[in-house]
Amino acid sequence: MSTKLGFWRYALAGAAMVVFCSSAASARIIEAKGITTIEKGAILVYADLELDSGAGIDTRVQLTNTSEFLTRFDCFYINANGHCGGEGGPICSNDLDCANTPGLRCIPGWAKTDFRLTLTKRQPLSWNIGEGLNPLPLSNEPGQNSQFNEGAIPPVPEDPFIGELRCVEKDAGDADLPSDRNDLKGESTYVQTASGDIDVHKSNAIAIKAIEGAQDGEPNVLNIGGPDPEYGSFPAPGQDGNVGCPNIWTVNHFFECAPVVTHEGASASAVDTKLTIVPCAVDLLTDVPGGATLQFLIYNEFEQRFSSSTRIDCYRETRLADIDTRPGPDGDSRSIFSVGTQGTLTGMSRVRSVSGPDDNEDNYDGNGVLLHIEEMWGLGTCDGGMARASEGYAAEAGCSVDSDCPGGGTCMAPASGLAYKTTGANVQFQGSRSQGDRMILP
Amino acid sequence: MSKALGMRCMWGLCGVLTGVFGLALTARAEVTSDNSGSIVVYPKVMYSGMGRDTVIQLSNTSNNIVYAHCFYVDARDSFGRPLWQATDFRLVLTKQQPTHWVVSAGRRMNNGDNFETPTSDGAGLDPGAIPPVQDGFMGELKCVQTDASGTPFGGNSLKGEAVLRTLAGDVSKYNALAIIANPDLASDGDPEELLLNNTEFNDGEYNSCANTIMIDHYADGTSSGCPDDVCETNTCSVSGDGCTTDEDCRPSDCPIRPYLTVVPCQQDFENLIPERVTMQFSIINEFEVVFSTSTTVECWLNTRMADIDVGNGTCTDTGTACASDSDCNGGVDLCSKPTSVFSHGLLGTDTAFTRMTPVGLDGGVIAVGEEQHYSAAGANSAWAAWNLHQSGTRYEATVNLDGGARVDSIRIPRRF
Repeated sequence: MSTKLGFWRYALAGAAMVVFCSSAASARIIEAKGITTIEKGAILVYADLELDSGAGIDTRVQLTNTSEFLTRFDCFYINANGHCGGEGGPICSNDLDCANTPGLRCIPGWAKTDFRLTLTKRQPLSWNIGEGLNPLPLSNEPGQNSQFNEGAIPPVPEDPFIGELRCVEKDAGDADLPSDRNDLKGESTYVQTASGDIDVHKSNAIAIKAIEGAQDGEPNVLNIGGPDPEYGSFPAPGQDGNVGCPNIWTVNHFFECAPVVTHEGASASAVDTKLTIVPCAVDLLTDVPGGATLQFLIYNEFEQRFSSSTRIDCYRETRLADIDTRPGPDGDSRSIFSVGTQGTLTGMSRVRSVSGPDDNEDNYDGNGVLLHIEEMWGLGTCDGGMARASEGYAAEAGCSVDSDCPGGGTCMAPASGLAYKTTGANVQFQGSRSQGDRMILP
Repeated sequence: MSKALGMRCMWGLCGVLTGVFGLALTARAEVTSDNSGSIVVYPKVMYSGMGRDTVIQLSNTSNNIVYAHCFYVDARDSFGRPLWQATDFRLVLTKQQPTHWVVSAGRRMNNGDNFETPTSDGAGLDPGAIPPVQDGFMGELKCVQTDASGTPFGGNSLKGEAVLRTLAGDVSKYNALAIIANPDLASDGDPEELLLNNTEFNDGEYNSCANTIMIDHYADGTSSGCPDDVCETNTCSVSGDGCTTDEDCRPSDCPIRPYLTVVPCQQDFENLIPERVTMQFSIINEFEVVFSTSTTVECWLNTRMADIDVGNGTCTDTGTACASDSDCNGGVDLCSKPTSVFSHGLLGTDTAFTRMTPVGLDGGVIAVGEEQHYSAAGANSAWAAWNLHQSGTRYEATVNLDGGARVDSIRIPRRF
């Protein structure tokens, strides 16, 4: 027996013995997760980035290499701005924004801007997306290990801007190969300032975990979950299939225009909610955006169940009330997400993206999505009287959007300039699905 | 030993080490804000008539009826020690039922509020009688999933969120931390003592708390630059000062302050014994320079991070000594602490990466972060809460220590 063959036999026997003994000791993961918002990962997705200098809005991104080693990664801004009439036209988010350009519709956009970074060990980094960061700290002078940060971060390509940022960890030795180390964590902070007032909210980037030793396919094709997973997780006992992007998102939310009274009746706000939804799968090589059909099951506090559905293509930021009605305030009061329709202040929506056909041999059309939630707590006043939410309360509930005001009224921002204050949070999830999702890099 | 046999042993040992190392790399924390669990912890709950109130959201994510035993823990300072007064109540949630309440008001069992216009705060299936908290309450809320008899049950069906709201309307939201149960062993042993000892490598009742909490935060005192104060016709638009460029209007009085709220995982509600945990902090700035400090958490800690290592600072306007903002012109001025290891003055960079780890055999902790951002001239501020990253488990980190492994437990009052 050759020494080489003997080495493999005894090495594999040793490793098998460890695994067997661990199994016999009943190692127990209750539910494996393919993505996380409170652990490190190899792919980070910042789903909700916003810049609007005219409105005093910017987003500060924080990104940290948590490892003891130099780490490389490729990042991609994805610009989801729509434009009236197509590329080059005025920036828009829906057709209502193109009212000043008759005959033109809001054409969704999806364009990437990429940059490559190398960070030294345990390196935290932060930048405003409107400014970028150049030079990086420790780019001109070395860190503790005589290592340098490399690269530069551009600002986002347009202002206003809505979109996302994705960063993929690469091998330290060969930047064209993906890494399986799970060294990255990140946060984003939304900041709006106006006339001396300020609004902020902060949430974590969604981390997709790499499976150690599984990056064995094409280096620019990243399989998340599915039959041949490179990212995500193998299933825990009782779970079906490898774990990638979640099967179900469980969204706790207030129904639209919910009147929330605090401080024993001394203060109140009408609360409206926005969801940001991005596809798990993206093709950054041929610039083909992902999409999905979403099914909603909505439960109110009476345990009554309703349902709705919608579609996303590449990126969608939407108020709940605009999911089943036309964009804008029209019809919001009759939305299935309206507090008047539901009869309770809060609900829980289970959101499921419809995966691809069962006969897909590739099994990488999971159409998974990633979610982020934002709430707007009204501070404004209605020009036509008290906000809907105020009737019957001692405190006048502040409005945040026009649909909070009765009779087609307008929600007027207070002197401070901010019509509402916002919260931002990650959304919880459960379950796995047999089909996976793919990220394809340039 | 022959050379050949020795080589075989060495390769086998390599395999063993590879297997162990491979498994160890997959170890991770399972006290999570991503999924539902059997114990949900809201580490930061507050009510003050002139300060902040808290809106609690709690949901049953399963298709079964779920019972919960909840505890408010009032951890206000009482003559230099935490009060640590627990008030408990029980809830019932039907399948997939969400519920909510405002801690200042609680929630009554009242079927009559289901038909009011506009929609009443109490509309819906009332989950139970939820008491209000006292004015000045500062502490946590913990809910344990039980069966109908009140025995803890590992159904992993609870999830929650909390919104902290000021009287003026600013809001800040975080997800409750869920401790996931091992459904096979959750009610094993003493049913009123919940052992947090389940890990990837050890079959236990409930998942162990994290070993390390990782915090990406702004350095205390980092200026956000007061970006909306611009120079218009030689006058700053917000401050009113004279200027020639926008930079003249952006003084460093729009600071950002990071705060931390920490709760020990070990709690004894039967004997009302608060737990003490000593935490070690390692802080790394953007230049890779490492600083360190430590503090002790007894029952509950809510602190500006700069207060962890520095007691006194200076008022930014007058330069007088201060311990907190209230010492500076009644709170109109801000108390700056530039010598803190968490401050911009010492770190020299806008952001830092802090790792927080219990020492020795001390138990694990659950934590949330919050940042306070000031607007131009420090007149207004806004809060932003977020859930903190974690790694490892307290159990696995202490298993090889003398006297280890550390097993945190939650003891709930015995029924009688």
